[in-house]
Amino acid sequence: MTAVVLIDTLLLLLVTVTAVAIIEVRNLYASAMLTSVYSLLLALVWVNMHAMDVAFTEAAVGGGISTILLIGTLVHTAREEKPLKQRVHWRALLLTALCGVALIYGTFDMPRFGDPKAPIHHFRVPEMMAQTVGFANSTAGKQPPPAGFDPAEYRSFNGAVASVPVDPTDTGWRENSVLAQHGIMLPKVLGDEVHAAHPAEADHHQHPADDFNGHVPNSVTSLLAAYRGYDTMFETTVIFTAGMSLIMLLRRPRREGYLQRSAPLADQPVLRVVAKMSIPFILLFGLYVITHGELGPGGGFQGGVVVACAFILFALIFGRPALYRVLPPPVCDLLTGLGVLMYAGTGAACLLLGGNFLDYAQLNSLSPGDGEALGMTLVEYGVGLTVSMVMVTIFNQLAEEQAK
Amino acid sequence: MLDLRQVPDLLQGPGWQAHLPVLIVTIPLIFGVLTIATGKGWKPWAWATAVTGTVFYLALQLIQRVLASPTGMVSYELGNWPRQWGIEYRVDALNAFILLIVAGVGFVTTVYAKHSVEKEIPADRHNFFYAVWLLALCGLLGITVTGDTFNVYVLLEISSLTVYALIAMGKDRHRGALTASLRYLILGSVGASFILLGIGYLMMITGTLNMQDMHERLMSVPGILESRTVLVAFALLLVGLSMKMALFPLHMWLPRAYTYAPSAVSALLAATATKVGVYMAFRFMFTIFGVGFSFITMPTTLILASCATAGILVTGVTAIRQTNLKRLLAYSSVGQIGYIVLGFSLANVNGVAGSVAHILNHALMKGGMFMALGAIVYRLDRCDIRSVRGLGRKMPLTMAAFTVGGLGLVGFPLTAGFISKWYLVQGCLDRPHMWPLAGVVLLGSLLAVVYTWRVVEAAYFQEPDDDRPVKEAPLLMLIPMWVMIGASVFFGINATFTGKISVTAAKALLGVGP
Repeated sequence: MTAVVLIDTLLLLLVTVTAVAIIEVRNLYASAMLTSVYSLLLALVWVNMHAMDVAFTEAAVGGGISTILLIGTLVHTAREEKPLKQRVHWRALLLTALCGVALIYGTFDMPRFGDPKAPIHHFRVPEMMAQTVGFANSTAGKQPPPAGFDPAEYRSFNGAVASVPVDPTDTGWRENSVLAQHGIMLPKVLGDEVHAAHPAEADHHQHPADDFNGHVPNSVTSLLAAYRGYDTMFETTVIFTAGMSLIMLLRRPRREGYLQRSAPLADQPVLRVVAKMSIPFILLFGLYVITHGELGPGGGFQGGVVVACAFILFALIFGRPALYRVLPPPVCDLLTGLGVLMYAGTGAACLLLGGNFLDYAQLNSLSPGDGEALGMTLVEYGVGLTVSMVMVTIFNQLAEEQAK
Repeated sequence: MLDLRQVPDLLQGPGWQAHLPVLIVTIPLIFGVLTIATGKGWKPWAWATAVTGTVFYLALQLIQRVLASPTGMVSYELGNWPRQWGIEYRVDALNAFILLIVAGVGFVTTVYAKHSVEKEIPADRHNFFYAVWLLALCGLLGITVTGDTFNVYVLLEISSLTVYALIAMGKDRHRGALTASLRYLILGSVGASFILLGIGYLMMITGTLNMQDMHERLMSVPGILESRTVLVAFALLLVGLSMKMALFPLHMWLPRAYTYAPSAVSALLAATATKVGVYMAFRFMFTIFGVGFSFITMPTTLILASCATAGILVTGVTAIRQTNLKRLLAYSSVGQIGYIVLGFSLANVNGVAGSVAHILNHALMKGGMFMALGAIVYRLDRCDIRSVRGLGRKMPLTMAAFTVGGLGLVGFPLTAGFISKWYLVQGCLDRPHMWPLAGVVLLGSLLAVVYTWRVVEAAYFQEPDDDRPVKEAPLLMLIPMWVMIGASVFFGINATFTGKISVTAAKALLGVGP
């Protein structure tokens, strides 16, 4: 039993205990706080699985913003759960237990965790992780594989792709890979003369400009923003829909006004000073997470949530009237839509430039790799904008009804 | 008679038609989002009508292109990524047909919605309402057009979330809309989680998300179909999809949701939402798992056919006992889903063709009938059986539409319902030992006679409670209503189009040659 298994066992045990506690605790406020604990523990489990992006999302969304929103909801309901008449609903318990048994039964034939022979480790996914889907040989758009290239050979583990270079600046492994031998994913697309002309580019030659091909150091981002960018567009739309639905259902008629009372916390000097000092850094960190998503864990969703937290903190300390002066609700509504439009608009632009929808390479016909970089950055900012504005909207709508 | 090749190509541009599959989803998305900026009054409605009209036109172009294509299908690779890695849109006769239904009903219902929404939704949020309305259509169209399993789930999230919100908008008329929406939200989320788990298990065992790719892997890897993971994935998908299409006994969310939703929303949902659920079941069972696994290895025929028969009979009896007409139609919808499920559970050409044809026919009839009820609510503010007494003389066109639609539910000759029931009965007789099911179809029709007759009797043969004058519904409600009902009669008389396309789709699903 390795240390990882021990830690995982301990964490999962804690997750289970927290889940039971969430159900058992009668105080809803405590229950909401426990969901935050639950998400943070789960984030640690993801970290243990090396799923950093998932862990980051779980921590930011589950541990952070959704707890704030749950507590916001509590303002409208009671703080204590009503006692149940029937302690245990036997039929429901039986059905749930059966369902759980079925799920576990399904895991018996599952590949073991991390098994290199598992289907997802040798079918389709390696190309995604190695970011070699589409074979862009310095030409616009994705090309078919060149003659003689045997995907089966590539899929077999000859160490060429799966190995990680010890020295990150050493690109020799690319030349030795099966792909490079067939002229795919050449590292030297930007010739030396280009590097000479733009010295700043020299540091980036792991990042072949004309062979970008959805290629970013963080393979999760290339999966989310490039290969399955279309799904991500609709995930953003889901967030947008949530915001619109809440406005439609909860927003009070405009004539009654937005503003109720000022924040009770505004006269706390310590809170005010700390908030004022930390908000710029939270915003900066949010923008960093959005922009840096291609290099490390993070991206539009996580960054958007962090940015939203800055606005929500501002509203909590200085009151919603102050937030509405900074970000009036109509502006917030429009920005929410603008995020989705940035994403879908990037897709439509690719279509109008003659490619398929969301074929980022079309954005820069001279250097398709730059086009892909531009497209992926644009959509990440679109996601970040929508997510942050929707979170602020949800918070506002939950807080708004409070004064009734 | 209905020749789709006659639809003119308005743009005449070179190659733009290659993008039809993606345009049909992204146009309602982009312009749906823009709806929030359209301001007040009639503008959001006009905007939504223009958008849905465009989408309907694109759906006509698409089906024409699919039928003309030599391979019988049109494929579109999103972002130009190869389909095995990226996301593929794959349209064949079946989903082109469902797309046409959803887009067509979406357009007609949007035209109809104007008066109904003005009356039932507060004026300051019409722009948000139509934005969510267009996104709901975008979600339903997106589920139908895609060839990628995870993309199905993402679009399912959009269509579900929007539908919960639209149902809850009935809150100003009746607080029950909120609990109905919450109930649907909980049950719908359970169903969606089951679908997601099923897709996840399949992804784990096959290593791919593309439907065609998944099917090929399931067929080619030795021993994969016997694995317990695939078995559980199939069970999870079966339950999740049954929940989404409101198959008895997992229909508990539907009656309240349809009853308390705003009238226009009821009409849209009744005609499209559950149908798209049925379409998903087609895709998962026939295209991904294949007929051999779904209907021969697994006892699916037994499970689905018994649920469907029970549903037809139980909800038929329940519908007879309802006094609220919207609830009556809602129960009848669960019964009609029973016919559709019964058809494809037989897994033979006639059964599946009957199922596909009934998707269109039921969408037209039930959509038209819910529109008639919406018109009654518009004039009378209620729609229980008491309120329609003597209404046959006061609102003759509305009640006539309701009656013709009811005849269709019964399966009266010369209505569309007759065609689909004809296929269904044939399908039951084609399968050995399944002939008693044909009896169930006929018994279900008798129950439909009873519940339709109760309304017809009240409307035409009973005296009104008071002499309050009631005007006929406005023209903008009558025309869409009669377009739907008229279409259902048209497809009852001229069954060539539906018959041809549903048999083509059925043969493609079952893998028997054309």
